[in-house]
Amino acid sequence: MTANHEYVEVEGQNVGEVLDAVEARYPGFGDLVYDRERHVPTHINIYLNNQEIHDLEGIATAVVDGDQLAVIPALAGGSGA
Amino acid sequence: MVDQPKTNSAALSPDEVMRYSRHIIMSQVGPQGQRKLRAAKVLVIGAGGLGGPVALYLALAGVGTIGICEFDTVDLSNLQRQVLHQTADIGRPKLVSATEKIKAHNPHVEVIGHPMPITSDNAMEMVSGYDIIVNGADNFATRYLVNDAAYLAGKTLVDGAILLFDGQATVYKPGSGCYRCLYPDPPPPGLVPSCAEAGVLGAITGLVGSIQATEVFKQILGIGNPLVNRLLLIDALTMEFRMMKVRRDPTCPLCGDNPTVKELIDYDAFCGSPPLMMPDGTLAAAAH
Repeated sequence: MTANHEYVEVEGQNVGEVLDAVEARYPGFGDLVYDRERHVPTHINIYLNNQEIHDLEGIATAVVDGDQLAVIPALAGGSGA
Repeated sequence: MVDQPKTNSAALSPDEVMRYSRHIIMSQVGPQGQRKLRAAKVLVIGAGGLGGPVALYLALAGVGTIGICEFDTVDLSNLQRQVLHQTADIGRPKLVSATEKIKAHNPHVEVIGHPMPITSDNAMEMVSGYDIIVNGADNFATRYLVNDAAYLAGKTLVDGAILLFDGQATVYKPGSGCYRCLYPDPPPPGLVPSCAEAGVLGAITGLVGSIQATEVFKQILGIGNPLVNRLLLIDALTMEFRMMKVRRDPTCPLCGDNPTVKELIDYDAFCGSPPLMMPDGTLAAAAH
């Protein structure tokens, strides 16, 4: 969703702005991290450094220079064909 | 000739002492820890990519009773990653293939086969016979089902997942959060691809499976710092391991303060997933 880039460096004041900045650079990114109501769906966790943003202030959580956001979807691969 | 003492109190046989000597010599294990492993009963959901290395390492370590829930047959496409099955096993039930390999590695361990899908009808009875549950199911319906059954039965759940070059692992202890706390709702059907659809690096199954087996050992032995309230994320491409915090969600419908899920539900309906197809082409009541 980011052209196979593991890391993308963007600017923003909070998590939402950071996600918007990534979406601006990689159109379609927003469709994967937001639902139709522009909420982050519950099968996707977004971690600010190592803490999930729902435990903070959601996409309004402020970020500072050097923070890392990780967008992690639920995986279900494992045992089976 | 294999002697059969299976109780925690029985002394280790000379054969067992030699076989497990590299464990026993460690102060964190010792003869007492090895007896704990022998007395332990662990249920592994699936004998495929993740369940294979988990079951294998549990067996090698002398975990006395290993339950395996598996109804599928071995397919050629499994052999890129599923270490319990070999070319000659193609077409055979995975449970039979897995049991043979495990017993060949360690005839001391008992393998209990559950040759059916785990469903809402059989899950509680199945998990109740074990101390620890290991989940590596390849679909969301089974993941929620096993999570709920383990929690309702008061069992520790060692969870792992893989896709592409990525892996995830964590441990859920009742009262310390559950899969629903981490992912309250499943993704819409078809949104998150399966390994069959997107692919998976074979070696990542060994990586995550070994981590799951390690967490099982730690639980049995009561040593170390378990992956409770922590989610390990593995990116094999960068070979970065990240540790994320996981917390119990007070609003969780299963383990929260006011739970609404008090018994197993229809997980196919919950996940919007189609019923599971059995190897003979019939539909199974997979997760309901």
